[in-house]
Amino acid sequence: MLRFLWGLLVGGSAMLLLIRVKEGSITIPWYGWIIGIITFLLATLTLQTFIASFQEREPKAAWMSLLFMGVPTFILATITFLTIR
Amino acid sequence: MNQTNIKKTNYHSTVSSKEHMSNLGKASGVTDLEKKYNDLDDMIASDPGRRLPFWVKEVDKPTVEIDWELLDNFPSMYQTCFNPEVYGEKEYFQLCDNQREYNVEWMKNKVPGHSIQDNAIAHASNWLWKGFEIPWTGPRWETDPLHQVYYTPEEFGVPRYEGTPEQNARLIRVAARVFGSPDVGFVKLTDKTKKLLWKCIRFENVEEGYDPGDGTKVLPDKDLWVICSAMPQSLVFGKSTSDSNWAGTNGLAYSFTKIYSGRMLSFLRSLGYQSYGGDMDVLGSAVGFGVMAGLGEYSRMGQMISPFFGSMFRTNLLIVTDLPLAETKPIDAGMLRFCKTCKKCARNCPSGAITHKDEPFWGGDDPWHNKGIKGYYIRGRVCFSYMFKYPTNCGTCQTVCPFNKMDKAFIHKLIKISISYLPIFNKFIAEMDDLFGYGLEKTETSLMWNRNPKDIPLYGLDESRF
Repeated sequence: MLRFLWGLLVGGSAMLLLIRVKEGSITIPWYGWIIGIITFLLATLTLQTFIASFQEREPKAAWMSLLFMGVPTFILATITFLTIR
Repeated sequence: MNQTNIKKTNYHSTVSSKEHMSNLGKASGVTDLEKKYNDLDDMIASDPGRRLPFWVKEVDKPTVEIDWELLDNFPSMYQTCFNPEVYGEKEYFQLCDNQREYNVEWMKNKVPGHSIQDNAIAHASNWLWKGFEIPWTGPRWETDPLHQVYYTPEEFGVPRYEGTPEQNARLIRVAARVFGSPDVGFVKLTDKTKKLLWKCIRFENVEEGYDPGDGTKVLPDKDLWVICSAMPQSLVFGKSTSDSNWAGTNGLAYSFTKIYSGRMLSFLRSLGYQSYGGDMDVLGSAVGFGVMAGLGEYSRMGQMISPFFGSMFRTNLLIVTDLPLAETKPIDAGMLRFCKTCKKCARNCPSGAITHKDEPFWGGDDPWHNKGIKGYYIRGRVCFSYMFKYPTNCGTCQTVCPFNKMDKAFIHKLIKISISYLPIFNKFIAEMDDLFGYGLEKTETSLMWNRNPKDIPLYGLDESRF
């Protein structure tokens, strides 16, 4: 179920982004795409680790993964948004 | 499906993987995807060979250094460090009596994890482990033909099963999954590997092996293979070595092993082949054969660790057969190399029995050492004396090992890939394992009784590992 919701969210966001790029209402430089893809992969890994760690009954690992992987994800996401014109 | 691609046999049809993928590409419908197995032959034909992930490399020599010239057969399991002959029976049974007293005291004092129900589940789990011996040549109930454990092809009047070593290996792998072993490997008995058998195993020029009843066991002097079966153990209940559930999960795994052994021995006899073993400790070194079969690598704590189950599997059950089997090679997943820098088991060992030395060393100083293996030898007496101070024994080294993970989080796979290919990160990974709180004693197992029963995995075996 969570995978389905994540897929729905990612698919919807990607579609919206591509429509707006095609319309010309926003432009993203090449390095923005690269950082954006890395951000997406890291965000997916962070979310999966966070949820799976609770399923593994390792709550400390869950919160630590959010700290060690979530913070870089947030910074990268901010950089990605700053590249959008 | 294109009918011309199908090769018909008496029982089943097979297509090559190329043809199968080609047929899938033709959108031939659900019948291709819902492949049905008509018999074991069909299952064998569908996927031959052992499939290892790319980060588990098959190698010609195991990662632990072995001097085969120096290596000699170890007398028997009774000389290993957890058994009476090393201590002398008086001291050994004194330790056992002490443990019983601790057990009663903790129960009376209501120490968490040691309630009467915790003890009950621990002791009940041991049932069948001890007190029931499977004969050397496998179980057989001669007195009741209707319920005989196995019928040999000879008794049926049909020819025995025949297959190539690869098909046979696949057959045993399938049977092992059915009977309860998640991973198996095969070692041919050669002049070298015979040194991993106990000294009390003899070879004679006889058609069939037998048990002379004098403490030795006889195998026929012919081509033989050892089936090595990893036996699962619950990581869910095994997380707290201070709870009775720890003892429960040990006992459950051992008694389960005995059932598995009887079934596999019977299976081999029913195919028309010889099988020898029975109990889990009668043949030889479980770690030695497991390492040679590629079930895992030798580790700092002196046990074998698997790339899939870590140290949290109970034993490697050995069965000898004359069914020709395709050998499996030793593996290198970088685990022993990781042990050199990790040392988590040594750091957490409450008795200090596990060495902190960086590099492995040649053993032979203590009676339970086997010369010829460059390993990390534990101080057996120190370990065992400490273990018996607690009602549940101690398995801290096994519990804290970083390779024990439930494998629900994808990142564990990335870390295993790193350990296999990028040893430069090993120290960082070991430190992060501590920082993330892995391997710490969990007290929640004592609260098992308050859980929703449906949240408890069957036999405690979480599906992500097996």
